Amino acid sequence: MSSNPETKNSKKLTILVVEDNEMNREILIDLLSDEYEVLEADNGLTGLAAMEAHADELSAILLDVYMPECSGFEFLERKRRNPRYDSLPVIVMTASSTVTDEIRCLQLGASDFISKPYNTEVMKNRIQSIIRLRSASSMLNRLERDKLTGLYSKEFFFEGVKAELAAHLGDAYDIVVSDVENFRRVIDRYGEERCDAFLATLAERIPKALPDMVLGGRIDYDVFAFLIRHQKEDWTASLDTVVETGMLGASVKYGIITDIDPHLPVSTLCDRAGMALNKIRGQFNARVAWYNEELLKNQLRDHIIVEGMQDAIKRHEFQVYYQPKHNVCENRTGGAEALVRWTHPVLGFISPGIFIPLFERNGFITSLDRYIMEEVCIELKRCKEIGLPLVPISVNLSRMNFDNPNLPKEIAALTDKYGVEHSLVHIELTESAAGDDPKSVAVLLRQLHDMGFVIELDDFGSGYSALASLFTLSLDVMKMDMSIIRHAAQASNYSLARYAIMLAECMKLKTVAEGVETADQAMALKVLGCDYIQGNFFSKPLPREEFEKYLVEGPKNALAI
Amino acid sequence: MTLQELYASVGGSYESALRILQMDKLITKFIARLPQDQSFAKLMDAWKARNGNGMFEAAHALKGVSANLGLNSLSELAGAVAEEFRPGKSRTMSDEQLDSHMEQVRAKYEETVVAIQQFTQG
Repeated sequence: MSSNPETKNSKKLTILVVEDNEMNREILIDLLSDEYEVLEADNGLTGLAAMEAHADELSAILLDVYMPECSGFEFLERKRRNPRYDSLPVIVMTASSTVTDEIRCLQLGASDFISKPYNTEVMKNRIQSIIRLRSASSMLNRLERDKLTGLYSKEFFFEGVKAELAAHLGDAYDIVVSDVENFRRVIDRYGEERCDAFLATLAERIPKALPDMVLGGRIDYDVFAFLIRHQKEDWTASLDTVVETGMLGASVKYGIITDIDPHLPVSTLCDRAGMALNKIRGQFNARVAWYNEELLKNQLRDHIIVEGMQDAIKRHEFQVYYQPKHNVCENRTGGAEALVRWTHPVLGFISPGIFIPLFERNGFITSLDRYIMEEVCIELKRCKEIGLPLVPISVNLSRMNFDNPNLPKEIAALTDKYGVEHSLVHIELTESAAGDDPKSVAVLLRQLHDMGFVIELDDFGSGYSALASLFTLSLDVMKMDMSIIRHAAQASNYSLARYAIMLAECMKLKTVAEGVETADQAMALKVLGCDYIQGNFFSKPLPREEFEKYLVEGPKNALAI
Repeated sequence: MTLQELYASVGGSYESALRILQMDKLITKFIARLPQDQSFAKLMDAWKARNGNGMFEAAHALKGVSANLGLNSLSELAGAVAEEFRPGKSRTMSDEQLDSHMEQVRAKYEETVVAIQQFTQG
């Protein structure tokens, strides 16, 4: 696949920059004119005029928010009124320190946003991938039947559903929306051609798995929607067979809205099914989700969370808890994992299971991870100063951190600022993250490893185990997922745990078992040769003061094994 | 004076500027044009006229321009003014605090412009 938009044909694609500040505008033009034909406008009104005059040649618009005459918000509102511009993507440029502007722009139909100061590489990549996806999906809308999939195009699907509902008032229907997870990444990895073939296969197989399908449409590049007659029973098991192993390793999720209200616009109904689907994005085990009113409430909650996240860091609302890891061989505390807890001023205690996925989606997770890293450094410094036993503390680093090539330098600078030895800081990386863009992750991990940080592979055995990652990444520790321990205890069969430990030994990795609840489990793991044990059997996650006390007094259960 | 020295002397980050503008040639080209950018003058006018909306717009623009040039200290000072006058948010500074903050913005801007002039004149 070509990496530059212009290499496909000799003519450059055209983008429009709407920005009132002359200098910012010229910077953008300088940065982009190698790859694009760049048109410029100095406020929202001239921007709208330029959009109207060049609608057919434009591939994307870069839009500033605050401008005299006509702001970015107004620009988006006016653009939205004319469906002719629906397929023309807008990327909003903001310099705001709050996310409310960004949310408002996305609600007004912006495709994405980039923040000032620009990270030029990131900006260019975003523009490119948005243009690629949009140009493919806008082609679809002009045709009644989509050539690739044979499904209806978006407009025709919406019209068709409307007509069907109007013709059979009183009958009940459901809508099923399907979406391929991380499709951009799958395209990057396998190329457009194979991905198109995959979409065509999906479009053939999903209808076969649906009961009583009325019609189906392709409503976005990798999103399909199907109208089916209302089903009283749960029929969704049949969807399990749609994607087989080997099909690009892609995962398809489904959102369903049942007994639809015929008075709502079809696009809203599809959005709501999509809202349900979004809830299970990134969850390995979940394939289908149903829409309900609670989802609307959750959306509101998510909005409040996102709005308060930056202040939460300033106000130290995030608290770090420490869960001890027990060194089995020496029978004493050998480390701890830093875990985040958040008591929100309005919402009260929020589970990390709720806010972490949100932050992973909007990118804030890197700020939170950095905050926790700093808190951990402060704590390690404090332990040293007041003479507490020093044990390494591990910090979870989300996948997104590894998009930043300066990550190792930044982490080293942070630890050095507090005079903390690198070997006392462990970095936990989830297995799924490691498998995600293995090359760039591998490079950064090696650098971190060479700087003396200790790398732990988290959640081993929780998803598809990419054994290759054990060979390609610079790892020091393998952390077995708690599901391995739980299953082993339930079935009194530790063979999977034994296998994992043997594998780790071959690779010269230390092993940590997490989620250990009982003396029996701990004993079994000790016999198998597990190096460290973490879990409520020794201690739940503790706030700082209690953790420090624990470091001095040791675990109550230490002598039991 | 080198670009690095220029940035160090005014509390900017040469690395950020490079991340944005990709090469010294562009940094030199655009930083030399800061004195012609109107955001600062508009901010001063709006301040004199006690025009809150005007201050928000100008401060926001100055924040963006200086951030794109890697002039972090100036960007942060301007950003604080923008937040103070963000539409729909209540003010947190007293008028005295604001005036003294604005003096800091002015001082930082002038210091930066002088340094840029010294840089461009070799």
